[in-house]
Amino acid sequence: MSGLRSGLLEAVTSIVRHPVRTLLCAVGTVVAVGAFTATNGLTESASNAVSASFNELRATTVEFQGPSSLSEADVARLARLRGVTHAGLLWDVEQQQPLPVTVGATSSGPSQTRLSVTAMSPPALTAVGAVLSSGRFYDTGADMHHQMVALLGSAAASQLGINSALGDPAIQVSGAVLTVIGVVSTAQQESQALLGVIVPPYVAQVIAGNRDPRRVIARTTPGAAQLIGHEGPAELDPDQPRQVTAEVPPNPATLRSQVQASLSTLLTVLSLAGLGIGFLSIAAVTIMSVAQRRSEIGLRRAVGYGRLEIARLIVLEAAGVGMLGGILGTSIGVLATAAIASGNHWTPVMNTTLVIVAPFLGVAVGVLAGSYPAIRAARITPMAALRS
Amino acid sequence: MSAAPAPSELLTLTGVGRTYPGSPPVPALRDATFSVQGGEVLGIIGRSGSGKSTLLNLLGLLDLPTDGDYRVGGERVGSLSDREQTALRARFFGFVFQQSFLLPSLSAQENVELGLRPRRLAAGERRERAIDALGAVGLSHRRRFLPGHMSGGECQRVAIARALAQRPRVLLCDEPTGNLDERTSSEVLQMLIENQAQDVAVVMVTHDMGIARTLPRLLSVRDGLVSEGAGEFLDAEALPGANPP
Repeated sequence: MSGLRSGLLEAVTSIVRHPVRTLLCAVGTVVAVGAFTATNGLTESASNAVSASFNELRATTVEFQGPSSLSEADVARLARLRGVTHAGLLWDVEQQQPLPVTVGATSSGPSQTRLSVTAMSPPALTAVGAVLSSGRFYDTGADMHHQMVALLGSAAASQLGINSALGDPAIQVSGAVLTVIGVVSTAQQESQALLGVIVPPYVAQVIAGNRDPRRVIARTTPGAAQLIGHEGPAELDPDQPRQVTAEVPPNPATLRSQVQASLSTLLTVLSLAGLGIGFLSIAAVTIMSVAQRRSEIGLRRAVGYGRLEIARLIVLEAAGVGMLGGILGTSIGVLATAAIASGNHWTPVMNTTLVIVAPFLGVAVGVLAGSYPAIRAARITPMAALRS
Repeated sequence: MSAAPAPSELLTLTGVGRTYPGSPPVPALRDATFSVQGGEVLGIIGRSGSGKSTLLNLLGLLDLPTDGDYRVGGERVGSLSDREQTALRARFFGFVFQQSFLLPSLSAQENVELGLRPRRLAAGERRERAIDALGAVGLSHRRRFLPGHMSGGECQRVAIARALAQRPRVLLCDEPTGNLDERTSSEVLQMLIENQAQDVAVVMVTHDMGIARTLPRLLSVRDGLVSEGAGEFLDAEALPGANPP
């Protein structure tokens, strides 16, 4: 016990009296433990923020896939279910195959552009959270009265050189002349539709017939998605509910744990890489230090230090440096987490156990990294060391 | 079979040899047979590469013989484990090398205490012994100085204090004045010789025949063979091949 205490005192003396060596040795551990702590803190904070965001949007959306026979009357039945706030019918016209689109009412206009076309019922526009940058949405009346209108996604509008819906510009899609009544700038879902043309169901049937399979987007109240996903197929197709499949968002609790699990994997990889750097840093500097201290080790052996005492001294020094690096790294990691989380308007979340354990992780890295140099030091014979 | 050592014999060598492995093997020391008694002062002389340092390393258990029988305080060295040899070395021997081998980050007193750490002494006793030993070499006033702030002679005196503080039975000195000027050499030598009165045997390797002639007993080493007396070096001023300071 007194041997260990004496060894500890000597290690502390050596660490304090060689500040440059200590600093060089500790840098890797500071970076490693700092990265470990910060990654963990940021993972916790980000996971909190991300899962909250997912809860708001993804957890209240159910998507159904069904045959081309699904109609707006079927969707209206679904919309009547308790817990459904919006439901709309949509489909990819010609299975998302780009169709020829030209600007102007006559086919002698500028060269063709090929764009995808998405059919969306007016309630579907609401369900996907579409937002206009100019013009207006089409409504149920427009569809009922077979108005040949269309909306352009912002990317498609830019591609066609149409800056706004002002003046009701005309386009031709597969020969059908359509009036552009609005430009959609963003959508919470179905954002790929912004790359092409969005048309009412009637127009879609004029362009491509009635062959494409339908999709139904239903927005629900929080917590109702699982139930709507279960009951929806029977409402949409009472005769053959098995023809309709529902894509239900994961349970919020499951989602949160999934997000954390995937971020944990990232954390583990980053932490291991960081700790590996710390390990190599301490090991390299300690090996170098042992080589430089051969005469010191030889002298210690000559005056009566045993091999074990030499090895213990080197390991204790490395452990001390590891602890120092661990404490510094943890402090930096906590500060970095707080700063980055605040900058992103997240609530900083830290695992307190980890903050307490992190410095000891530095010690463990130090002990492991110091072991090999310690063995090498213990093997040095006093005669060889003093002669060198 | 070797005869049992006389009670006053600290070190007894019977037919001791050291051959370094190689192709061919190098016999650095052959058939050394002599003994060292308590309080004795013994000089070892010889040309560079003759085997003097090998002999000193064997005596101090810094190396082990490959032939013969070597006993320290009656204990046969060859039968001891590494740990026992280390303990015996700490208990029996003090070393003074040509270089002082002081740790630059430790003060004079801490350097002296370093030699006492393996003894598991209480901190107070360790400090007391270190201060006494520094006093004995006239460096009490410099005990808090770092080696970088002391002269070469002072550093060597700290190294002697480190060896003396261990209260060894045998003080082994390898060219202890090799790096010092003449005046400092004679001061350092005087300190070493004075230990004879304290029943400490002093074994000193030297190239300086001026120093060697002042010693009561000499062993000369030539081509690995040890013989009593100055032999062929009796009239020489200095032996060739002295290590440069």
